[in-house]
Amino acid sequence: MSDNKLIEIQHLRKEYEEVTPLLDVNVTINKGDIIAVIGPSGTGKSTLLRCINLLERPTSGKIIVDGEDITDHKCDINKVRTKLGMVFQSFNLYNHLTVVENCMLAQTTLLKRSRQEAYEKAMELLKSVGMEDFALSYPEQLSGGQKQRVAIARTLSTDPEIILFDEPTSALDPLTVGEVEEIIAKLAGEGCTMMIVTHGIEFARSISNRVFYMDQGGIYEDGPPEQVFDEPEKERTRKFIRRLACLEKKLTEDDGHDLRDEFQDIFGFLSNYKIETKRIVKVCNAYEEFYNLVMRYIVGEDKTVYVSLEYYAKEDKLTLSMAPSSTVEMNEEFYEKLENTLEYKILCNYSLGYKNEEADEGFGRRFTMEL
Amino acid sequence: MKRLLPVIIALCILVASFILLPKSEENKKDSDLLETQLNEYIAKMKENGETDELEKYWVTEYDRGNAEVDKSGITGENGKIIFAAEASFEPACFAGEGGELQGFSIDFIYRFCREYGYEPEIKCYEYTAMNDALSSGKVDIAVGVLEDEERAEEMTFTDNFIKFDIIAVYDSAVSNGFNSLDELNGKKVGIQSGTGYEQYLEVAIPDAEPVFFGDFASIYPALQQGKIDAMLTESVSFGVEKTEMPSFVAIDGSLETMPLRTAVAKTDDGGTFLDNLQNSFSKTFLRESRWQMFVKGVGITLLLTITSAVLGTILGLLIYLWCAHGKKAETKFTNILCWIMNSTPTVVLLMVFYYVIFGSYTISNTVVAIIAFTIHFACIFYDHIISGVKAVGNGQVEAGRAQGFTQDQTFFKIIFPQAAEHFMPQYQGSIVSLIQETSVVGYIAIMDLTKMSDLVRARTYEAFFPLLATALIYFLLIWVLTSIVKFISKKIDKKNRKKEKILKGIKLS
Ligand SMILES: Nc1ncnc2c1ncn2[C@@H]1O[C@H](COP(=O)(O)OP(=O)(O)O)[C@@H](O)[C@H]1O
Ligand SMILES: [Mg+2]
Repeated sequence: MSDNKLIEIQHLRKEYEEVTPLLDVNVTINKGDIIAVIGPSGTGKSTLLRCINLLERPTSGKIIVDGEDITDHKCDINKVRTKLGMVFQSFNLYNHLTVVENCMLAQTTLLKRSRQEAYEKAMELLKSVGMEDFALSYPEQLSGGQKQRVAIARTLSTDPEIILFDEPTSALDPLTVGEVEEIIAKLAGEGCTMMIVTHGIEFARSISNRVFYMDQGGIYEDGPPEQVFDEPEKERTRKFIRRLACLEKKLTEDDGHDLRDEFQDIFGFLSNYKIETKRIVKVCNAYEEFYNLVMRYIVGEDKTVYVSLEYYAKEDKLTLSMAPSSTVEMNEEFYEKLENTLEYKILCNYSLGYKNEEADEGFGRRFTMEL
Repeated sequence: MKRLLPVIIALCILVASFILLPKSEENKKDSDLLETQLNEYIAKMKENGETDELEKYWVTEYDRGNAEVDKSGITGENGKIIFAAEASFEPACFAGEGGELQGFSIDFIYRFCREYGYEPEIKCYEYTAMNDALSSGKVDIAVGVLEDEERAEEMTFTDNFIKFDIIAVYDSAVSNGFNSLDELNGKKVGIQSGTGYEQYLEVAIPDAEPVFFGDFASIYPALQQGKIDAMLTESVSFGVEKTEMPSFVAIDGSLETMPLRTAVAKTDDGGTFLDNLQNSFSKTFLRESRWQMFVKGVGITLLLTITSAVLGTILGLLIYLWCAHGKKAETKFTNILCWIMNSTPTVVLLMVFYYVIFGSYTISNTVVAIIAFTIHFACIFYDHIISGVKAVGNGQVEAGRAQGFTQDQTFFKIIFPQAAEHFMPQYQGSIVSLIQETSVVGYIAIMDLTKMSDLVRARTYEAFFPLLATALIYFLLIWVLTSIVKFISKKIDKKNRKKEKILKGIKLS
């Protein structure tokens, strides 16, 4: 096991003037680890990655890479960095160089490879990310997904021992997320050691063999994906996972009628879980009917309704609930009237089940349907 | 062809302005009458001793601070006459108490106007500009000018109303002194450009080296700091200078006795436009091989501009790297330096370098100017780099550093080429400004294009032609320099490379 040690982090602390995102991080990363780093924003995920290659200098603590303490001022960090690849959210390709030169620069300058050797390596990598046809293009001519694929090839060009991905797909439009995730998954399959900060739970689950849930100034929960995603041991992790699997919105009449934005969000949210399009369309239709029903018969003066859409991956269960602010008295008579409306009848066609329960503070009831 | 368009336009402007610029006809009608009256009056003054009175009052027994022109008795019944007098030349013409003009030239003007019933309006010009004012018809009479052949083509001189000697002066505080003018051979002698005294220096002291200054105020400190060994001045004004600078001593003897005259514009000889143009051209460029002066001037201007631009660029880059490697203090220091350099007018900056910073060193003036302009340009270039780097963004730096490039490698291989793309247009503008700014080096006695054209103007008494020719030459220089910068920016823009260049040295399988 100890032979396998790649990075050892001891008592890592990083303070900024106003916040201290990392209090005391102690963790060992082994060769072959594919670590998904998840957690609410602002919990130091990026900071952790950037400390590992010293883009941020830790306030205290040690980071030992391949037996060498890189926080030691005598350490030649530039040499170590060639072993620590990094892929950024915003690609950061060298804009003045062609795609192939982006993949050659570090090889010829830092690893002293010949131009020929560097070129061949670059082309091979570009082929593996499907970008060989763009070798002589400039970054500005590429789409986001293409840029990120080149950025991955560039990172691989120095044969790093670990790749640090910081939200590699967050800046991409939803349709091109897949092409980049595919490449990362392929790398994972080849046994490449990597740490990847991501919000794509399903993606993280599918490629990782270890998950860091970051919160409270450090790695709050560290375990295999089955544990962290499905049976988190700790309270905060559970809450986060639940929230992640949930699309929550507050709608008012002003937003109403034109539900296109809502549909887009629903689409984005559900496609994370690889749910087929037909089912998503059905959810959207149900959503619209549900919304109309609530708005017409239930909602109160301020026309406000809290909507939440949740997905339970384990049981493949989808629930949609709406909690309208309401002043009507919800007695038998009211429900009878409700059940006779056209909207309600249509809704029944979509629904697998129906629940009516006490809602959170301030709101009368929450209506939930299973889809 | 398209690239020549600006040159053609400039030429058209030159020709058009030569045709269109007004040579006021109205004033010329009077000039014969004025000439007669002036000669008549000067003869009368000599006869009745008024000339001697004038000299005694303003020169030999000059009561500084109390002497005053009698300005009473002006009727103006015969109209108004505009006079040109040399500005700030005590005791000829200067602003006395309450800004009132005083001096023997002014005294002469009032005496003349009182006699003939004119009302005087007096305009003060630099000595070199008086010729232009007269020949362009801006004034009717110039008072206190020296006669010479070339000037006589432009204006008609009357008899002299006062005489003075050209003398040489040294500063006994920094020099052991000279017993005779001959001892000045091989020494540096300061001259105010435009006075034409270099001719007399050449005759009287053939091996002395003339050093030209824009005005007397610049010659005095040069003499006091030992940058020059002596200066030429006039006997009439030395008394005043002596009260301000008591250590100045006049060397015995006179280089030349000068009759100070008045002049009116010459009656138009009716030459055609083309004749005039040809005449102006030949006077400005051909006579006395004056084109050589222009060539030398262009050489100096280019030397100053190119050397300062190249050295300034390198220095600016070094300053940037020094700041990038240093802590906040270095950046702060540089910012303050840049702020000072950029907010000081170039002339002032140059004078500070010449008289203050290098005041006590004997370095060639050209080197001082290059140093000043280099630092000035370095500050400008530093700002260009800063704004360029900002435009490139921190993401590029992080990408480079994360791959393992050192700070310098990241800067030179990744950041700078991209920053250059951003700042190149500004850089080109700064080169244009630089070449324009070098035109002030005449202030510290460097003979650049502007200074040479001043000297030619002072010798030919031509107002427009040398000026417009100089403007055209500057235009061409700027055009050439910007073309070079454009060429370079195209060369360094990596996006302009051909495929073969990108893949140089790579065998494609
Ligand atoms: N350079 C910085 N200076 C000051 N504060 C920073 C800096 N970088 C990050 N932070 C702060 O540190 C905290 C953690 O940031 P980050 O690691 O980017 O979070 P995450 O990637 O998990 O969203 C945030 O509160 C952020 O505001
Ligand atoms: Mg982040």
